[in-house]
Amino acid sequence: MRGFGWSLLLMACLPVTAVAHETGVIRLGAKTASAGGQLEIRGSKLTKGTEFRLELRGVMKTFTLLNVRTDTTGQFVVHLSLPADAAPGNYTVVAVAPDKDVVARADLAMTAAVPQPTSPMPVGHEGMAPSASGTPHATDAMMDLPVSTGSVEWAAITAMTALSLFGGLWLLLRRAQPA
Amino acid sequence: MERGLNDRTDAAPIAEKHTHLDKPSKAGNVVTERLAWNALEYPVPPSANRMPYMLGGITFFGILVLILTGVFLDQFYNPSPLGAHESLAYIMTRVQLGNWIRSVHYWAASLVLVTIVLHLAYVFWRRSYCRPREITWWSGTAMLLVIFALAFTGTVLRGDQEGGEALAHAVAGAELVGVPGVVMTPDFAPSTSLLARLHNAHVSLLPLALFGLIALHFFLIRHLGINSREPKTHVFTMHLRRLTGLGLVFAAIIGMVAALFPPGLGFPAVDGVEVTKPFWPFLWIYAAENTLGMVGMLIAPAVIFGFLFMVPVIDRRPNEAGGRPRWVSATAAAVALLYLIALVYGIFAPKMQHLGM
Repeated sequence: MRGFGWSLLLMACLPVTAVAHETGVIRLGAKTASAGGQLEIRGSKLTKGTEFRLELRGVMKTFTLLNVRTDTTGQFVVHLSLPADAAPGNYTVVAVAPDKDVVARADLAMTAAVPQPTSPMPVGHEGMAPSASGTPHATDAMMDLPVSTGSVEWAAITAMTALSLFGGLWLLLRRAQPA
Repeated sequence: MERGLNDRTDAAPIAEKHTHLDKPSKAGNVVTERLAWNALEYPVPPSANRMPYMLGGITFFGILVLILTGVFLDQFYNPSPLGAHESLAYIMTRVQLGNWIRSVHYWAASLVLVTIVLHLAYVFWRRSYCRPREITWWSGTAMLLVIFALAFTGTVLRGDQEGGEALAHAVAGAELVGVPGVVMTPDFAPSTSLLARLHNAHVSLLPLALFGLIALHFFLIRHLGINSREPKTHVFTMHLRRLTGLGLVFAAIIGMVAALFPPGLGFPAVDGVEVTKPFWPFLWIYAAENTLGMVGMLIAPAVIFGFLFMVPVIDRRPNEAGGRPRWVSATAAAVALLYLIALVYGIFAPKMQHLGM
C-alpha cells in the first residue's frame, strides 16, 4: 500500500519533470503555412550560444528543418522553406537541445501545397493516384497504409472474439435449473 | 380487451417461480436486491425469444458495440479539416488495436443498418404499428432516420474522397432545401468548420437523440407489450439472457469479420470532383440522384420515410379485425421493391457527377 502511494506521488511529479526543460519560446511568422512555403521562426529565452535542432513534428511524420545557433542573448531568427511533401494537418515546430530535450515549441497548421495551374480533370477519370508532382488528384482508390497487426494484438483480438463467442453460446445454451 | 396492455395478472407467479428456478447465490441476491433486478422478471410471451422478435434487441447490442468502439476511436480522432484524415491514418497505423477497432465500428454499423431494416420489415409484416402501438412505430422509424444520419456523419468524418463528396452532397442538399437546411451549410457557424460540427453531431447530438428514442421505444414496449397472442409463460430475464447471448455471438462474428476484412481509407478529399460511390446503405439515394439529379437525394428519402411515418395513419384497422387493407400492402410492396431496385442499381450504376448539375 505504501509502495502504491509512492508510485502515485512519482506519477504526479512526472508531468512537471517532462516540461521542466521547456523554458524557451518559439514564435512563428504565421500560424498557418502551406507545404513548401516560407516560414519565419524566432526563438528567445534559450540557452546562449547553443545549437538547437528545429523539427516539424506531425501526427504521422517528423521533419528535421535545420540546426540553429542562438546568439549571446539566447535568441535566433531563421527563414526557411517548409517541406513540400508535408501532408496537410496540425504540426508542432520544436527546438531540440543537444541533450535531446525539447526546449520550446509552437503550433503550426499546414495546408496543402499550392497546386500548379492545370486543366480540370474530366469527370469519371477515377483511379488516378496522386501524381509524382504532388498535385492531388481525386481518386476512389484506397491508400496503401503500412497497417500491421502485431502478435500481441492478434492475441488480444482472438481472446476478445473467443470470449464473446463462448460467453454468448454459454448464455444461449444454458437452461434454467429444475426446482 | 387486447392482451398485453398492462395485463400483469400472471406476473407474480412466474416471477416467483423463476426466482426459485435460478436459485441465485447469496452474492447474487445482494446485487439483485440493490439493483431491483426483480423488476425485470415480468412475463413475456414465448415468441419474444424467437429470432424475428429479437432483431430489435440485436440492433441495440450493435449500437452498444458502436458506442464502445466509437469512444475509443474518438480519443485519437482530430475533427479539424486539416487533421481529420491524418488522424484516421494514425489510428489505423499507430494505435494499438486501432485498425481492428475501427473495422469493428464499420462492420457493426453495417450490421445495425441491416438488422434495423429487417426489424422494421417484420414489425410492418406483423402490423405491430396498429393501435395502441403507433408511437412505438414512429419512435422506431425516427431511430432508423437517426441511425442513417449517424452512418452519414461517420462517413464524412473520414475526410477521404468519399467523405469529402458526401459532405459536398450534404451541403448541396441543404441549399436545395432552403431555410431549414441553413444549419448544414458552412456559413451557419463561420467560427468553426462544418466537419467539426458534424463530428459534434456524430458523437453527442445524434447519440443523445437516439438514446432518447430508445428509452421511449423500450418504455412503450414494456408497458404495451409485444404484439403476440400467445400467453405470457416466460419471464423477461430469460429473454434478456438469450438476447445477451445472441448479441455476444454477433459481436464475435463482427470481431472476426473485422479482423479479416478491415475497411480501407481513401486518399484525402479533393474538392469539386466526384469519383466515388457512397457507403452501401446510401446507394439507393445515389441511384435516385443518377436518375433524377440532385433533387433525387431529397425525393428518395422523403418517399421512403414519408411512407413509413404515414403507415399507422393510413392503416387504422385494429389488429383484431384481420389483415391490412390491400392498397396499403400494395403500396408497401411497391416502396420496398423500389428501394431494393435502387439499392441494386446503385451497386452497378456508373459513377456520375451530381454536384452542380
